[in-house]
Amino acid sequence: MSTTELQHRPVRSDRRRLTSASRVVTLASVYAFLYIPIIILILFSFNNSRLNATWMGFTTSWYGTLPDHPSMLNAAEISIAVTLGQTVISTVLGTMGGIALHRYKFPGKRMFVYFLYIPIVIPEVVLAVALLLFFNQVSFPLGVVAMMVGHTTFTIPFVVLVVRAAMSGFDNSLEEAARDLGATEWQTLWKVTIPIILPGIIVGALLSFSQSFDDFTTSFFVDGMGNDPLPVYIYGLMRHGVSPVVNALAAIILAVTLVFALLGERMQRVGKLARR
Amino acid sequence: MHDSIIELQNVTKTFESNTVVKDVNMSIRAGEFVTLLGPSGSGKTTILRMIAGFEKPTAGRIAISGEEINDVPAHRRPVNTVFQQYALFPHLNVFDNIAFGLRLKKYPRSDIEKRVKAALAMVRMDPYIKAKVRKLSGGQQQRVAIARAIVNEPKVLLLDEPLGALDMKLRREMQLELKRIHRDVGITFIYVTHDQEEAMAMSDRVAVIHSGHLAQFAPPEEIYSQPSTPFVAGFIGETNLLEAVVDDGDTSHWRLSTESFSLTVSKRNHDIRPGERVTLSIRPESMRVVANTQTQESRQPVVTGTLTERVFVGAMVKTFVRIGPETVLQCLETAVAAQGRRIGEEVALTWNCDHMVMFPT
Repeated sequence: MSTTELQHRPVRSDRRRLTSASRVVTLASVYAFLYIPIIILILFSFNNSRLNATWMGFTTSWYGTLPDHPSMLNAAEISIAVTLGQTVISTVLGTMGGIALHRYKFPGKRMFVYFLYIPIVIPEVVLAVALLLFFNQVSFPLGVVAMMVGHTTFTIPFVVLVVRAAMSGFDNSLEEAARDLGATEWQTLWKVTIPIILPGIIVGALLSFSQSFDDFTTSFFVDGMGNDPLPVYIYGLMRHGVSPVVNALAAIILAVTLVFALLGERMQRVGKLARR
Repeated sequence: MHDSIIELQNVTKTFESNTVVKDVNMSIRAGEFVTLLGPSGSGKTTILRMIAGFEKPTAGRIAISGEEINDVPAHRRPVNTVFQQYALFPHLNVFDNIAFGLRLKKYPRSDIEKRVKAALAMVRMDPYIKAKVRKLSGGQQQRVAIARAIVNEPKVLLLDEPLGALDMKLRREMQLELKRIHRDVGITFIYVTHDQEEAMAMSDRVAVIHSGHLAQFAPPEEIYSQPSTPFVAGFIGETNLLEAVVDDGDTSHWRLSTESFSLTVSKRNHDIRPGERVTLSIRPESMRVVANTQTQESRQPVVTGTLTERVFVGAMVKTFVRIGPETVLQCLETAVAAQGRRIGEEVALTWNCDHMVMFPT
């Protein structure tokens, strides 16, 4: 065997062995770092003790006591109202925006698209303060409607961008075919364009829903008096120490958000398959 | 013009500063199969899209059954289109695709079913009534697209290179199918293609479009035998084009001089003046190769040259003869007639001047 061969081959396989050996460790630590706190939270929501410190046995009683906190149910109602309301607003406006961005050229279009990213990238607290100042300026009452509007500002870009991406795979001659067969612009939109890009719209709506449902910062600034949605309500509870009730509630929020996120992911895959 | 179903008068279309359709005048009769033929970018699809209502003419007038439709939106025009990429609705099955137009027109349910089934039978796709359009082959999708259009009983069916995406064999098959469907439904077809063979095979009349202009609008035989411009002559089939100058002749004939030879043509058939420059078009199949020494009837031209290439095309042989430094003529002979000729041989070409077309330059 020549020396070049000796040098060449072992180096590569060494590197590979190193990679595969460290991969398990790396992945394990990353997942541990990300998920251990959440697992502990869920675990202690079943802990038969008032304290979140030691494991005293399994119980589901904390979940059972949730309805005994009327203020908590109220917070849940507000959360759901705000989230559903803003999801409808951002999905309708965002879909219109996404279709328009695909279809029309107008001066400043590139700039407009860049501006869409601003609510996604700027710190949310800045946006929240700006919204608070704006609502005061125009004397808009803080509360449920203010939260809907506030959430829409940072969820709408997600819908626009997802719908625009869905439109990019859309064959424009389909709309011409519909008009050719006697459909007005409105009928074409409802019978052809929207059904075909529906997976994209649903993904946008689900993203919008999960963004809004667990939002704390914006809600905290613009919810007014006595309109705390769940995340803000939980923050309030924490000031009196963490009760396992909070754990139970957090576990439920987690489950709801997870379901919507997974649904969205699945829809996106179905959409991609359908377009092929 | 009372029997014309579609009338284009001085139709012009300009995109920004680019004029793609220039002053086109056409009158299409009811029931005709008309083909708009031209190379890509010649404006033929734009003309079709203006009739469909997807583009508005910059100038001129388009009328259907005598009524101007310039300002009628696409969805209210009595025409339907078969698109190049079929444009079937992917979220609907075959039945719902075909029923799309009828449902918009609020036909009763039972009526819709009857008409859709009849249209499917027309394109021989009956077994696929519930199929997903994605699962169909290109040829099947094309048939569904045709059914979706004709089910609405349009006055005119517009077809935008509908066979462009199909392979050669399927193409030939669909050409015959389209001719049959045209005969069966009896509506006017306006067909766009860049394939001259397809245009010749299918149409009652062919409109040759050349960079936005209507170069010629006539039956296929006439376009072939009496092309109106050198472009039409060259685009439809193969031809030999020669530049010539008119010299004086005798009392009954003109004398024409080309770069390498001269010939005489009857004064009766050609309205030309001495000194005028003309372009001659001679089809390869009207030329004959004769032995160099052979004497000819007095009035037929004889050109001598070197045989440079022979190409077999089935039963025929294409023979190329160089008659000047820059000029090679093409002659199409039967394989039997061409037998025994060798490359490099000195030969003579002759042709009947009645089959020659002359254009003023």
